[in-house]
Amino acid sequence: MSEELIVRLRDERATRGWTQAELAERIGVSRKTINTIENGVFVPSTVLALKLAKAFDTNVEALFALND
Amino acid sequence: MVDQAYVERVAKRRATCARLMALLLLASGMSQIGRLHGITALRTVDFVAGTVWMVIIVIFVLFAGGGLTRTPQMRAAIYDESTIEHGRRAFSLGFWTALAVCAVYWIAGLYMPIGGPEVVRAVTTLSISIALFRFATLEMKAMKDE
Repeated sequence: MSEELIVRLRDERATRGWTQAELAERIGVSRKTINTIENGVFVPSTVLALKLAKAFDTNVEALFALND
Repeated sequence: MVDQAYVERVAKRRATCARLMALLLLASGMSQIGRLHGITALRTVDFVAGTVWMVIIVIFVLFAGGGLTRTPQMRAAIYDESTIEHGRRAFSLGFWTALAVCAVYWIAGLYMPIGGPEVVRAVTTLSISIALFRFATLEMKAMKDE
């Protein structure tokens, strides 16, 4: 059984009109980390996922979901 | 706040240094193995590559990889999760390369005499340079525009 991670980071970011660099600055990581997460190349840790959720003032499930 | 343009510049410098170090290490390693087989003309290549490699390590530590003078927030952004992940993947590939080169030499050793220094140089040169190349490639790819 293969589970696919759905990442809604790009949509959420676009809704707020933030650039990748702006989001990266808010949570203290590099832009390339945001880029790799959005492209599905890199799966963030729980800590980073929570930081992202906090930056968007939402919960982790709103940003990441499993398609199984 | 962390200056993202600066973080990006450091990451690019670090990836470029890693590529250069890999190239020079390959050149140095190959020339050393060549010398073991009596090709003395490569002595200069070995000397130049070895010297430049050490200079790049100093540059790497001072301007790209070190960061002793940077704030904790800046260091955290430069060595963030994706960078650590790229390092882990590069190390993993280096490890498997070392095993593969060992296996090749083990098989070759069944048919011809091979000296220990040659094996050590081949294993270290190939595994480290491939790991450095892999790290640089992953970093550059991750930095490509959104």
